[in-house]
Amino acid sequence: MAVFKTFWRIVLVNLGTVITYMSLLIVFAVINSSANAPAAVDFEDSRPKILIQDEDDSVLSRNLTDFMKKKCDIVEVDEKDIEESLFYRDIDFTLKIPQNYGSDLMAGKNPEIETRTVSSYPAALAENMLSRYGQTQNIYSRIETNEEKVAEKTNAALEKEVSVEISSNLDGKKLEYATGYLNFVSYSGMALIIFVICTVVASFKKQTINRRTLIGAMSYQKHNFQILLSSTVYTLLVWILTMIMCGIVVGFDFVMSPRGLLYGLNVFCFTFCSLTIALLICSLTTNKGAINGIVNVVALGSAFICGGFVPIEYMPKSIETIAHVLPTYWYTNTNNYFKTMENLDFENLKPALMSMAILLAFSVGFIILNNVVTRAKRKS
Amino acid sequence: MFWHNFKYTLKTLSRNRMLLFWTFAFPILLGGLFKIAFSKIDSAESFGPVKISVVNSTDFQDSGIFKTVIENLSDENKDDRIFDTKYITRKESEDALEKSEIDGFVDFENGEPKVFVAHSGTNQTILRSAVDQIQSYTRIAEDVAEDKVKQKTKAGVENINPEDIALEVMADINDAQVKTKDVSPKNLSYTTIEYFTLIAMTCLYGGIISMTVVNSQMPNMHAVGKRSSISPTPKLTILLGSLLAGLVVQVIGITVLMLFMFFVFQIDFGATLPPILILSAAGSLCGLSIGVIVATLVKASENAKTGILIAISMAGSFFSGMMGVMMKHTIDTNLPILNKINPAAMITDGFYALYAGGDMNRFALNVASLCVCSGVLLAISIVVLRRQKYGSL
Repeated sequence: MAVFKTFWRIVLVNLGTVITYMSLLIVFAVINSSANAPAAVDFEDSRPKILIQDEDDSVLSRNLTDFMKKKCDIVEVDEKDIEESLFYRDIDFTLKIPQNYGSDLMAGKNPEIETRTVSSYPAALAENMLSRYGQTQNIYSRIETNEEKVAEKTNAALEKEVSVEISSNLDGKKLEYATGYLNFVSYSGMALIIFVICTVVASFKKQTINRRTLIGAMSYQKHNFQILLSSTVYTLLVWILTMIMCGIVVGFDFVMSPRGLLYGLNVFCFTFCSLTIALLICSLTTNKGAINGIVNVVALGSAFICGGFVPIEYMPKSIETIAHVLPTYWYTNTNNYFKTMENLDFENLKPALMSMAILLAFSVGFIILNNVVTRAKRKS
Repeated sequence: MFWHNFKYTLKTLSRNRMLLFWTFAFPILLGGLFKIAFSKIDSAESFGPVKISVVNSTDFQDSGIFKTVIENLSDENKDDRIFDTKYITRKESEDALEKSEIDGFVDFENGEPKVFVAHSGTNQTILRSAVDQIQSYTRIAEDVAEDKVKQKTKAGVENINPEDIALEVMADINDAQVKTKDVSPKNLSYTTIEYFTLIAMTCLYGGIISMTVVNSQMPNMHAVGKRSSISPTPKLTILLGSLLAGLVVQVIGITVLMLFMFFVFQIDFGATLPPILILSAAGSLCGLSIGVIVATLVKASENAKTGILIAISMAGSFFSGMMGVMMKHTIDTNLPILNKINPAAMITDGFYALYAGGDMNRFALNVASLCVCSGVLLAISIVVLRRQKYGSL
C-alpha cells in the first residue's frame, strides 16, 4: 500500500490549505447558527429591530415607545453608528419622536415623526406598527381631553389580537440552519475534494515520479486502484466530517433523524460527484498552479450561481435556468426541498430522489468523460 | 541596473500565464458572478405586496369594515399596497398555503377572522398585524360614533342619521394617518460591499506577483537567484527594481478591474476617483508586502507558497464579507481584532467609509493601517533577506 500511504503523506503536506477550507466551513456554520430563523411549531411574531429617539418624554410619546417595545426589539446605538447599523441591518427602522409631540397632538396638530428605514420586510412591519398605533392615537386625541385618557383608550383599542393557526409541524430553526450550512458545503466541500485530490495526483504524475512508477514493480492498474481507493477514502472522510459538523451545529438527534439521514444521502451524492470532477480535472491538467485556479473557478463559481451562498430564488430566472447544467444546482435544490417537505412519504420524496439521481448521472458522465480524455491523451 | 531589472521582470511577469489569470482574469470572472448572483437581491429584499388569500365566505362578504379595509390594502392601483390578495375557497387556500404560493390566509370562524399560516415569519406577522389593525377599527369606530352622537345631541341635532355618522367615522379614521418624514440614508445596498471585497481580494492576490519576483531572486529557489546573488549589484537594488515591476503589473490589474466595475458592472462607489485610487494603491502595496513576507519566511516550493497566499487571500476575503456581507459586521462586532489585522477588511472598510457618507477619518485610518501593515511586513522581510547567506550554491 505504498501509493495509499504516500497519498496521505502529500495530504499532510497540504494540511494548511485543508485546514483553511475547514475553518471557513466551521466559521460559516457558527455564524449561520446565530442567524435568525423561523421558529418551530408555535406561531411567533417576527420582531423588527428598531431604534427609538424620544425627544418629548410625554405620556403619549412614552405610550408610543411602550407599544413599539412590545412588538419590536429595541436596539440602542450611538447617533454616529445609526447609519452603519441600518446598513448592516442591525436596525430595520428608526423613529424620532419630536419635542412637544404630546402637546401638539392634543392641540389638534399631527406632529411629524422622523423615520429611517432600509425598505426591507421587517422595516415594513415596523412601519405598519407605527402607522397602526399612530392612527389610533390620532383618532383618540381628537375625542379625549387629556393625554392619559388618550393613552388608555388607544391601548384598549389595540389590545385585541387575532388568533393564528400554524399548519406546519416542521422545526423551522433546525431546518434553516442545516440547509444554510449544507448549501455552503457546495463550496468548501467541493474545494476540499478537488484541491487535495488534484494536488496529490499531480504529484504522482510529475514526470520524474511518473517515470519511476512506470518502471517500478507495481502494475499501473494496482497503482491507479490505490490512488482511486485513497481518493475515495478521503472523500468519505470529508463527507463524515461535514455531517459531524452538521451534528455539532444543528444537533445529532437531527442528523440521525430520517430527514437528517436524507440530507446526509444528498451530501454523499454531492461529494461523490465532486470526486468524479476532481478525477476529470486530474486527467486534464497536472499543473499545480492551474489547479488552484480551477478549484476557485469551479467550486466558487458554481456555488455562487447555484445558491450555495445566496438563495437561488434571489437569482434572475435566466441564471437559474443556466444553473440546471451544474451538479451544485441539483444538490442545493434537494437541500432546499428537504427544508420545506412536510411528509416523508415516497410520493413527496420523488422530486428529491430525482435530483439525487441527476447528481449521480452527472458523476457517471464525468467518469465517462474522464475515460475519453485519458484514452485520447494516451494515444497522443 | 535598477531599470534593467525592472524591464526584464516586467517582461517575465507578463509572460506568466498563472499570474495573469490571478491578477486579471479571476477577479473579473468573480465580479461577473457577483453581478449575476446579486442583480436581484436588493429588489428581493425590498418590500413588495405579501401574497395572501381570503376565504370568500358569506361571513367575509358581510364583514363590512373588514372587507372594505382588506380590499383597500390590496388595491392594485395603489403603489403602497400591502397585500396581493386572492379571494378563493378554503380548500384552494389550504392548497396554495401548502405549495407556498401564499404566505397565509384569513377565514372567519364563529364570526371572527382567523389567520392561517404554514410557519412563523415576517410576512406572516405583517398579515397578523394588519388583521389586528382591522379588528381594532371596529372598537375605534364604535368609540368615534358614540362621540359623534354625543356631540350632535349636545348641539341639539334631533334627527341623527346612522349612515351619515358611519360615513363621518370612516372619514375621521382615514384622516388620522400618522405623519412621517423619511430621512433614510441614500446608499444602503449592501451587495455593493461584495464588490469592495473583490477589490480587496485582488489587492491580496498581488502577493502572488511579489512572491514570484522574490522567489526568482532567491538562490535556493531559482537559477536567476543564484546568478544575481553572486553579481556585484546590491541585493536591494535588484529587489526594488523587480518589486516596482510587480507593483506596476498589480496596478494595471486593479485598473482593469476598476474599469470593469465602473463601466460593465456599473458599481456606485459613492466617491470621487482620487480616494478610490489611493485606497487601491495602499491595498496593492499591502498585498505585495504579504507576498514578499511569505516568499521570505516560508521554506517551501513555489506551488506551496502560492497555495498559502491564495488561502490567506480567500480567508481574508471571507472575513471581510465576500461570501456573505454580514460576516464582516459579525466579526467587527464580536471579534474586532481579527478585522483590525485583516488587510482585506481594512480595504473593504475604507471603501465602505467612502460609500456610506464619506467618513474621511475612517477612510484615512484604513489607508494608514494598510501602509503601517505594509511597512512592518516589508521591514521584517528585509531583515530576514539581509541575513540570508549561503556557504555554497
